[in-house]
Amino acid sequence: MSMVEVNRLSYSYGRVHALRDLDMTVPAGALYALVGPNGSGKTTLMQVLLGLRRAQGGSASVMGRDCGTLNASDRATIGYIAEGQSLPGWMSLRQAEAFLAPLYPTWDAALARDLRERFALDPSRKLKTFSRGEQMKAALLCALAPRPTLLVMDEPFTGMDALVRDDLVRGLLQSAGAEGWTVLVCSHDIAEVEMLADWVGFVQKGRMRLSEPMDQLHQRFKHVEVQLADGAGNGHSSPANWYSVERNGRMLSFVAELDGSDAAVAALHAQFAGASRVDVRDATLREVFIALAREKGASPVEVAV
Amino acid sequence: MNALAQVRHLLVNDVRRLRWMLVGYAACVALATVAAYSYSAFSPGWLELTPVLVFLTGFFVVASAVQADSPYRPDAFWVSRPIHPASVLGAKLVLAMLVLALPMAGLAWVLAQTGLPSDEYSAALGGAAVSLGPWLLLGMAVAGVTHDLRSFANVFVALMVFFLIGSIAQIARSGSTLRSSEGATALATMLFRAGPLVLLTFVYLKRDSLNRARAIGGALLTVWLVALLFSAPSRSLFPTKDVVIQPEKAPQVTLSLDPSAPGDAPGTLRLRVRGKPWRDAARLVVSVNSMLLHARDGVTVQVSRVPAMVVTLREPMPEGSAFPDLAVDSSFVLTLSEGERRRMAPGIESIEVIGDVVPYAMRVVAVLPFASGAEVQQGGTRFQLDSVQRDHVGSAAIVRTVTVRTQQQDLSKFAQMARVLPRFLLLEDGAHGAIRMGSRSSGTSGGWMILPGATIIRTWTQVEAMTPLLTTTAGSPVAPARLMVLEWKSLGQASLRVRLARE
Repeated sequence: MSMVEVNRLSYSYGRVHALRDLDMTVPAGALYALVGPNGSGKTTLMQVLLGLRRAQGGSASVMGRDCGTLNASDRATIGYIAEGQSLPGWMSLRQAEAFLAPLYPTWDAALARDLRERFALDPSRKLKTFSRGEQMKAALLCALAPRPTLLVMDEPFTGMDALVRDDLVRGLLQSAGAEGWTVLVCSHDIAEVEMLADWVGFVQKGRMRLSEPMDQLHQRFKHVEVQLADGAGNGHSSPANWYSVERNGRMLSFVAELDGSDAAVAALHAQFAGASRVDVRDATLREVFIALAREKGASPVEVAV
Repeated sequence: MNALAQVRHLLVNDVRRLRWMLVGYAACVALATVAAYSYSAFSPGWLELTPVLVFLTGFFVVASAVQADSPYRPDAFWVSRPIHPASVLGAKLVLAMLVLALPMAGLAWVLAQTGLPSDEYSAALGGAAVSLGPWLLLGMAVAGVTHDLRSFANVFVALMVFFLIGSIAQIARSGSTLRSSEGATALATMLFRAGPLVLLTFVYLKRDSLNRARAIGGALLTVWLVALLFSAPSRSLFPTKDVVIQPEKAPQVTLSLDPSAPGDAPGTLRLRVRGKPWRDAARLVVSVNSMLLHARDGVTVQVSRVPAMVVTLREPMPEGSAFPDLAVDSSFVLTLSEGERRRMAPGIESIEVIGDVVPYAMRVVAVLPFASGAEVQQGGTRFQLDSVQRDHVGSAAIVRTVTVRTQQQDLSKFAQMARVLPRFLLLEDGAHGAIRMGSRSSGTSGGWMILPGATIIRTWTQVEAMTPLLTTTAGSPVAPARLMVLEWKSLGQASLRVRLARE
């Protein structure tokens, strides 16, 4: 069963196309990371999913319901943290909880207290006096305390120090696993996302470049480092499935997009049979992100085989 | 939580959020209420600014409330919560009603103290509601399509300029040959009152529709301007200058010749004008322009030097009530010249009186002791006396009035003008008569009373004693006196030409 279903979704800001025929499926219970360069349409996609923007083409549904028709009951099951989420700064955290609790039938005061303690937030302080990181923690608390079925987070780690980020990710992993939440997170913090997500979607120029389980991604994308043999130099252009190709003397490195089979890795090794050393490992999400985000160079690197 | 409970929940939240702004607003309302209640002709001028303060602060309260829960910003705190947009809109509208109700309560209380007639009382309250209400809605609508108070203020100033241009265009157009349309007037009024609500509802209920909302707002504004250009000029902009009096049939007037010539002046006639009382508190004013005296030998003498108007008040005036004697009974004395007497020597066969009869409805608005600091409040108007002079040289005073003018009143009518600028009689205690007080100079100023819809008009009139009016018992020039303030309303005019034949 899919929690989010997007088909050929399009959205434009005037002449600027934010989303173009985008397809995406988020399975129920998945921790789905949406990554992509700035301006690729991630935030717009999330806002369409939340019903905050109307799809201009295609369709988008959440929990089987068209995003344009989400009602208050539907929203009670969705936790959302916008990028730079504005909070009612005049309220203390305790007042904010008191304001939100009656709106959510599933509000869990114990979980709210637990999160408050875990995030070391003072409930009596006004939200406007919180630091940026603390505000994001407070927003997270407000999104998590209702125990949502779907949690949508747009850049939730912004402004948080590494310790808190790590803590948050662990907390989310624990909670999501225990509660069976579906989490859709969009972040530039690739390391945290990689730790958190079991699915990943890569959006580029408004299109979904790839959307697959993290395991599969690791299987398909390999980081290759080759120490070429002495005298190697007569090469030719790198193949289309090689990204981030760099050569430094005899050292050649790149990210290869394969079909995920052992045979493809064996073929890669065979391709560099004459090399002094060939290291092939799973590419990190960061390496894949950079590899896909960068356009292939205008002047292909010459490699020797 | 159902929708109604959500409205209440959000409203309480808004009130808590804006509590300090509301406290400031309430303070402004209290100040304006006190200023209006003090209602004094001697009030310092800056107090007249307090209603403007009420208007502006109320405006910013509702604008802040809307922008705090922006209807279109996707990162607004409420948009992704299980809150129906209609509940948010409902809470904002209820808050606006509270903002409106606060000064309305003050106005209701102050008006109740002024003794304003009930129809004008309700008109003033209604006028205030329909004056401020649409402005608040307009403020909310502008706040709904702008993202902070600064952009709100910018857009609003632009709108004010737009309105000003529209008003100027309307004034300029009034002199042209383009015809006004009542339909356009109704449309302009409807758009002003309902347009902001339509826009506000749209922007709250339709997510992701800011551009469309702005387009709708622009279209409404354009249609409103066009409608304004073709609407009938409003009375506030174009007060009617001509006094329109519905002609009524003048009552029967009887002229009688007094056979007993007064005193020892030979050839002196007394003419008495009698009219039937034809309605309560009404008077006939007979203006005799000329008289034709017909002698028995056929000689005719025309006499033009007759008093233009004679009003006789024969009975002591009860305080603050209508005259008890409603019968018209005016007289004047005409002394013939030597030549006229010679020509009339054969004897007067008949007298022809040529003039006008003007019926006036009149009531006593107020009676004050003729002393400095004397003050009385009557029918929505407060009268105060200042700089009273009463000695052998004469009697004079400055009469200050503060009156509540409502949209119900039609200033084109004489009665209302008379109320703003009343006429005055000086009643000397112990004397059966009155002295007409004429005005030498006067001035007027005005301003809102807490809210637009009811206006305070302040006038001052420097009065001094003029014509003694048939004083049957001589009064002392320094004896205590009272100033009677009269309100007259001309109801029509009829020509008078009566021939009185000797019996």
